[in-house]
Amino acid sequence: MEKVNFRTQVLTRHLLNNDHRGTTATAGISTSPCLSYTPPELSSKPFPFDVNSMRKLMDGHNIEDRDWLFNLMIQSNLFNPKLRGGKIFVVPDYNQSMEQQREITMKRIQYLLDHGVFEGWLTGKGFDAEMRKLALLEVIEIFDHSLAIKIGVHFFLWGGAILFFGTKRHHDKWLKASEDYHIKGCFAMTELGHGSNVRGIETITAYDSKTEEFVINTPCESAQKYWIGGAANHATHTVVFSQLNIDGNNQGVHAFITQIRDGDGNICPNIRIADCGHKIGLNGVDNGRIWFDNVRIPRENLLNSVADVSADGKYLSAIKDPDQRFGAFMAPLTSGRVTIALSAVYSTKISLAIAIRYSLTRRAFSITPNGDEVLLLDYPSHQRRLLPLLAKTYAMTFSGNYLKLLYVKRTPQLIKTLHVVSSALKATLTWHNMRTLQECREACGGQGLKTENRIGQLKGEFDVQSTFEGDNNVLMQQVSKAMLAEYVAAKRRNKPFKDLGLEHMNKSCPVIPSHLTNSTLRSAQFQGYQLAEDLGRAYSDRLILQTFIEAENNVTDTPLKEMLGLIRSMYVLVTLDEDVAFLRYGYLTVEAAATVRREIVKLCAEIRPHALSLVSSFGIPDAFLSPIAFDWVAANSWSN
Amino acid sequence: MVSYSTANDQILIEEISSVRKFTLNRPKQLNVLSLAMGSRFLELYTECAKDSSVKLIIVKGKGRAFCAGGDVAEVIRDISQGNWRAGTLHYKYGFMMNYLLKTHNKPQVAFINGIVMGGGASVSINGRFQVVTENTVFAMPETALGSFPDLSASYYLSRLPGFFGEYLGLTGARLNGAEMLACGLASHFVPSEKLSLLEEALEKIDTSDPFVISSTINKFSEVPNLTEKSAYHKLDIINKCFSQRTIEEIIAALEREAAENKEDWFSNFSIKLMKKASPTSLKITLRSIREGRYQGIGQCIVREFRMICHVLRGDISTDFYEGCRAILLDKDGNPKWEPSKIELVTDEMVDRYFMKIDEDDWDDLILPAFAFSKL
Repeated sequence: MEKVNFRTQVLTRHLLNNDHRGTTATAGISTSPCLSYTPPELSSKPFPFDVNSMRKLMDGHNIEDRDWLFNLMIQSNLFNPKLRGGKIFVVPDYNQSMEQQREITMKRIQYLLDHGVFEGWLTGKGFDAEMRKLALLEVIEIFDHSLAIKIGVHFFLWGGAILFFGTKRHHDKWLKASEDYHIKGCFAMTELGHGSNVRGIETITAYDSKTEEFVINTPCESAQKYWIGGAANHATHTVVFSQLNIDGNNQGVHAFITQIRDGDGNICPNIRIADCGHKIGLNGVDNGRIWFDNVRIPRENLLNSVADVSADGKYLSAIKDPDQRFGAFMAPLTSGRVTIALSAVYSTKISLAIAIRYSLTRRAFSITPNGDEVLLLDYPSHQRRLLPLLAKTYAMTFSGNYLKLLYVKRTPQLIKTLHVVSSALKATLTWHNMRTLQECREACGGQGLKTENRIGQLKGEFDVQSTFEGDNNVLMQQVSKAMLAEYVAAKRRNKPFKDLGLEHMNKSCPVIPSHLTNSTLRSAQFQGYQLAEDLGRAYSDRLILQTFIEAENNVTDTPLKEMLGLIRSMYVLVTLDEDVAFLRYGYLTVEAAATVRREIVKLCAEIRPHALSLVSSFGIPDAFLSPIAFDWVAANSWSN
Repeated sequence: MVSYSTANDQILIEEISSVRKFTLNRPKQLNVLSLAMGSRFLELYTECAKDSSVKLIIVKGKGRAFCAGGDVAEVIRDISQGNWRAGTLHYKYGFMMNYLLKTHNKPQVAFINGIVMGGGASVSINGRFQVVTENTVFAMPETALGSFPDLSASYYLSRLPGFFGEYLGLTGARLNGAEMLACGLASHFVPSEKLSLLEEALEKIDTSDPFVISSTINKFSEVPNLTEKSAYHKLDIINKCFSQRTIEEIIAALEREAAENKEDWFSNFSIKLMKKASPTSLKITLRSIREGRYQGIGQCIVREFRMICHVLRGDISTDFYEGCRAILLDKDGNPKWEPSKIELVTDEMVDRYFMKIDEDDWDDLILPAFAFSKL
């Protein structure tokens, strides 16, 4: 009986009261007494810092180029604009068939090409050209991962192979033609039986000195090229990675340009291509399988920056050691890890912006009998789920920017560092992405299952990130291995550590006091020491923190700096809390761990009023989010 | 039926059951919006929003114009007597009234049976329905005057198909009713002789339901043909050229089009129009539309108000005053823009139009918190 009374009271209150939320609410809200949408701004504090400045800090560069490309995509019907609740959203139609998605992806590429987006991507030189290219790719990734991958394969893998494995004759012949899309390239490295272990691939190439041709063969089924993006439908040319046999000696893995389709789209003779088939996501990319049956290519098609074969069949290389040769060979492929790591961060930004904005407008359960239902983000548990991820995204943004600059400005001395950093960050940032997507999906409840709300769909689209361009687990092992090797070498030489960010190891290992105070917990110095371990994940966490602190130190604007300090503290404490290594190795006592936990809850409450400003700083236009980030009641109303 | 008018009769108001009719009543001045009209409209919209007996609003203009824009001459007069701040009041009312019109829940039908330009376009497009006729002439002429399309123009121009919005805002080119219907600036086309019948029909329906209103208008509407020379047939040139990053690149793209295709009159025509405009206006208009494209209407309005303050203040360029002098006062049609060339307008100068006015007692326009999320 009491329940019935309570319910009647609640309903009566709805019917009698005008909507009292909002100041000039009557101007905007209809007279319906039901649950209505109130925008996130009403439950957030006025922005304490300049959102544009924060965006510039996080995006880092080429802001105008990014905005121009956003404009280009929003205004074209090719990018699937949809009107929901009075707003336009541009999201690919994932309900299309695999074939349709592949075709529309190519059309979008043509549109971007026509508007000059790809100008200078292969023929441009210098820092500015490189940074512009990376910025524009990041914007494309925000729209659709398939589109970005299809473009990435052509420009960064195919184009990158020509640039870095090829020499002048290859540049002259292929770069401009590729940039203008007169040819479509792909990258045939992975095989059915070999992915991570590139050196073990089975495609075999021999040299015919009579005809001055290389002959490429797929000797067995496990040697078929697999997952070759672009190969199934569109690509005309590929870089084939193959073992090279000269005079009966296996000289190791080398790269060869091979045409696989003619200008009319017919597959070339002696080449068989099959489709990898439907995938759990990324169906805008036509992944193919390739078999080579005595395919003959001119000698010049060997990409010969590291090694060459003379006309009469002599193998020539400046680097004698095959391991070193292979290492030099593989070094330029780091660009893939860089772009993947950066795109992972943007994916988390999209999902966090949507989930946090939604949680600032969606209510559930009242605390008091006559009170309004409570906003999702006002629940400490909801804050605990989303705000730490937000802090991690901020932290990883700064580390991504560091990696980007390290890559673009790379020198031979920094190649090893670049390899370790890119491996660590690629693994860490992509894993963070999958975790964030899942959490955000759950945080949006049933709405997270709707494709048009984006978050759930992104899971399938981005899942590949953890295994392509380097399996994450293998990459982390490489990082650990590098750490251990460096440690052993330094100890043996009895010299201090340098490079690889291990300088802090030169100081004595600090002890975390068992009684932690609030101020200690939030000091950057304390935080810097505590993450000083030297294996895989710990390396990444500490590196990310270091880039965060550097970015924070470079900021002079006080409100911005204070906000960054708050987020940095959240990042560190959550890392301490989540990684059991700290307890396992005794760096944290059980008591200290409890203090860390409590501090996190306090931080959540402090960051909560600024959540909107923090996601608004991502610089992602509304059109690239989804209806639940805005007026989801209007978006779902009958008249829509 | 109840009818009464404002203190100086500039808006005629009629109440017919659940319909409110507002007639702009300055036919000699082509119904340009004065300060009094702006503030009165704000009051009227506020009252209508709260009054549950109001179900439909009809807005129309007396004479051969619907509304030719804001009363710029009055702005100039007020400024010369006071300072730039006095001029901003006109715009303040204009902005607030358009914001309210866009976000409140009473459907408005605008009868556009004549000239509709500049701020007049805003009054029509921010309502739910726009009825155009064979007499309608539309343009956004601000760049030729040394200003930029305001009163939320950056919001609706940016949402037209492709880069048509950039084309209209930069060139000030004219459209007829059929073209407005084609690109989304109008919702219906009704021959002018049927307008009074339509008005009567709307007086009777007694509902706010947009489907009913739309189907009522459809009983009188037609689908007109575009003329052969319509700009709307030139969308691929427009999209190719007006999607370029900067004004210089837009003009260069148009010049390339003209060079490649001798029969193409359109590109040269567009270049000519742009060359008449103030270079500063061109650059700030382009940026305004590009930014407006992904801002909600509230953000657009706040940003445009900042820009108009700079325009009136003349702190970066005084082209607005020069434009008004040449076109409205001395009527020599020969404004001397400063900077006189597009290349001389720097990015830094453009940036300043988008920054807050740095006077201590001057604030941005304050809109309800809804402004930043609605639409």
